[in-house]
Amino acid sequence: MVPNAADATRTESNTLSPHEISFKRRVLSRDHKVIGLQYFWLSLIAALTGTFLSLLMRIHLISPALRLPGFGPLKPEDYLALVTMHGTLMVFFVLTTAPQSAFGNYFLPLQIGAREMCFPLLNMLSFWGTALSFLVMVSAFLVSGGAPISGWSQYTPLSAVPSAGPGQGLGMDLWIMSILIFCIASLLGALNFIVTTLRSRTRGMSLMRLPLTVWAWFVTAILTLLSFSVLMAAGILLFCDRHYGTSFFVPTGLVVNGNLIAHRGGSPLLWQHLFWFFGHPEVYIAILPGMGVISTVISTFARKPVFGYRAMVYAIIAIGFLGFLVWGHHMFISGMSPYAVSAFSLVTLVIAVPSAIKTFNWLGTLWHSHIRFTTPMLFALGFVSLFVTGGLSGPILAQPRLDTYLHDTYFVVAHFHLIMGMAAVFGIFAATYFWYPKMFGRMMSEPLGRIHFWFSFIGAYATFVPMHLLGLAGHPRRYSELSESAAYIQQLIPLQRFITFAAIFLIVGQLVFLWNLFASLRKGRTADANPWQATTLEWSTSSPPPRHDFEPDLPVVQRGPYAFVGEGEKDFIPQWKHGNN
Amino acid sequence: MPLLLLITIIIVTLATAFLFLARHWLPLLAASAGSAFDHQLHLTLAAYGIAFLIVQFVLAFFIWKSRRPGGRKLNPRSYGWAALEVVIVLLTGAVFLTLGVKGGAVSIGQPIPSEKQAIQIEVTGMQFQWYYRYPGADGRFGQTKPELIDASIGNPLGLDSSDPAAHDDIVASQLVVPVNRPVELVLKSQDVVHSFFVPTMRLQMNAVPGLTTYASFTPTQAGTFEVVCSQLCGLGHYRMHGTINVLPAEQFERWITSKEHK
Repeated sequence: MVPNAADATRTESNTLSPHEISFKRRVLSRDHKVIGLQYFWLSLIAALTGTFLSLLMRIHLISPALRLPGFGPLKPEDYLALVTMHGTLMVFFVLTTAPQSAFGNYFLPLQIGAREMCFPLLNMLSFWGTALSFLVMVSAFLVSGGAPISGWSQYTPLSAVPSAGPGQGLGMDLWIMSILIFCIASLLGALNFIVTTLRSRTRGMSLMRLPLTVWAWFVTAILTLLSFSVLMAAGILLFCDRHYGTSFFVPTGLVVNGNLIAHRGGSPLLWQHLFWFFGHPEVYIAILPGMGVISTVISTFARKPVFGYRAMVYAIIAIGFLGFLVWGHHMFISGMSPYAVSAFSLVTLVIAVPSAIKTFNWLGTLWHSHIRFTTPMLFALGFVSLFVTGGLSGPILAQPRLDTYLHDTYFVVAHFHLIMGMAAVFGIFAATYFWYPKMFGRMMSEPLGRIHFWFSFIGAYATFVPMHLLGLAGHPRRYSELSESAAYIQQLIPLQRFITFAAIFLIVGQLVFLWNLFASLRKGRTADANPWQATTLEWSTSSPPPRHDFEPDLPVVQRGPYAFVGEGEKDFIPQWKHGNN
Repeated sequence: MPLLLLITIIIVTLATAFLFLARHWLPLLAASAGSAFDHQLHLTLAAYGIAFLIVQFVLAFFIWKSRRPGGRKLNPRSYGWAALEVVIVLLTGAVFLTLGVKGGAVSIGQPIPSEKQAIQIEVTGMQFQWYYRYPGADGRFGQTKPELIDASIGNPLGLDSSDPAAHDDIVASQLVVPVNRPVELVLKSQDVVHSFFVPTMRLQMNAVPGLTTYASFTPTQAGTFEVVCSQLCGLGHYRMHGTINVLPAEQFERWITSKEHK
């Protein structure tokens, strides 16, 4: 199989002009590494767009009259379009795309000792599907009425009835179309990940020798397969409701803007069930790969084996499984049966246990270690801190009695931005600093990396911790004009102002990252094959790896992934190394 | 670097704890059942606050302790410690579940067995305001029909005048209730999902089109309290707010009589 792939490239080279080869290699590439990088750049563009939208939102909240150059002041519907698109871009095109599709594509085959994903053509199609989906999504800003205003969770009937608001017409159709394309692309990608993990491992790479990153990508791919298929079905039903006269989500007797809507018999709760059946596993899709990366990075720079490797594997599987049973905790006050409320609450609290195991084991890995304070390690340590802070508000919201107050307030915004936003993003940063030398053959600047870390760590806390307080004070989310809201909300504007300044601080820090990312491409110190003295298979090959990953032979795995032996210069034994030393 | 991390984590942690304790963030409490909420919230915040402090301090301490480079002998426990793992599972499980069970014993959004004392009011959400309906002297809500809805002729709820029960229904744009008497809300929506949120009453419930949901509270003090919408309902979401006017019993009687005779 592998020689065939090499032959195929050779035949290609014979028949195509150099220009075409370059196009095939860089654009329509089936090389998992190129595709991984394509996903990486796509998610970077999405992250920059999403961050810019959040900056506009934060500024609007504290100075609503500000005129944007070439646009004028933001109207309430513009603000809500920003809310929707910020959430959508960040959740789908950053948090789903970067940790899983970008790093997963690049490093899963390398870490299991394979030369390629099992279905390279499908892999190429999933990337271009995702890219097309991104273009369709941002084009919603350009159509008449603008982007949808109903939030990334698209509760019906607001999202189902075009007359319910500006942006709910063509903008909303584009949103659905984009998500449907994204779903197909993700399903193809997930299939590829699952089959590749099961079928393409090199000799000696048993399941219990897999790096935790691979376990995380594998379980995440299963979650993707099961949850995105449901989102896709829900999206199709919603599209039918909007255009083909069905009534899955629109009840009888709706009066919108003084007009009676002709639909009969649908249920808004059905949408919420379908959406959150996808939406909750999605949270774990965003965070599990980060957990895998953080385990690896902490072990590598603490120069110690991962504490409780097996427990970590079981915790990943448990989180993945339980993640499918908790979607109802988004719906405690939706009108759902109170029995369901109790059941969902209990399962949600149970999921805190495997999360606690992970935290405990990261601490266990750090215990009695000797840390190398590199930039990836700083972000990994920051991840643990943020994961704890963001995680502990989860079981608060999981209590129905408390949720009846905190639901849909800034407390929820604080919770998921810390854990799903910041912690996951710290995972992405740790992965970027850690694997940059392997991907680009050069090291990123450590001093700039450290500056970036301090901006991000302090900025994340300063921005999102005060949002808990807004929530406790009863400030609902998704409010655009605070000075025209209820009196008690107006009193909270000073705190909002502080949060905006903190957010600007946080965003400014990201410019350092961008500079480092691009400048190091040319100026970074050249990286050798294993600059971090790490143990997993991707470090056995050159940086960046050759077209077919391992030259000339595939590595053979001798041991588990984190053999740090804790003594002297040669304190690690890579997975591919024969013998004990 | 390790010292800087140690100090930063400790400062950030203490600052977080300080912010939570800096003032009483919850709004004034004006409903009887709200004290159970406040108690449960404070208990939970205290428990998780302590867990938060412990874990962050341990993290900072481990980082600081591991600052010295150089070799260290591993022992079998460097690879994991199953017994401790089990203890952690049991401990966290016990804390989360105990608090969870305490905080879970509540039936949300369901009809409550009607108390004799209780006053029943229908709340209807629409883009972007709340309407309130009192059943009137007959104690029954009249029929409404969506095709009759027309705010311009003063029938925002679509009351069907052919139904005798509808004749004495009172429709108001402000919620007026008597103090110290249970209020049972019947929540409906005409267009999209709204959420009826009264922070001072510790009350929040979705109003869902095509579905009836319920909420109840007993105001314990007279005064004016704010109601907001907490579920994104469209471009005017932020301005969908109003007030609850809690009156002493006799004033409330006067108010309702004046409405009935109009």
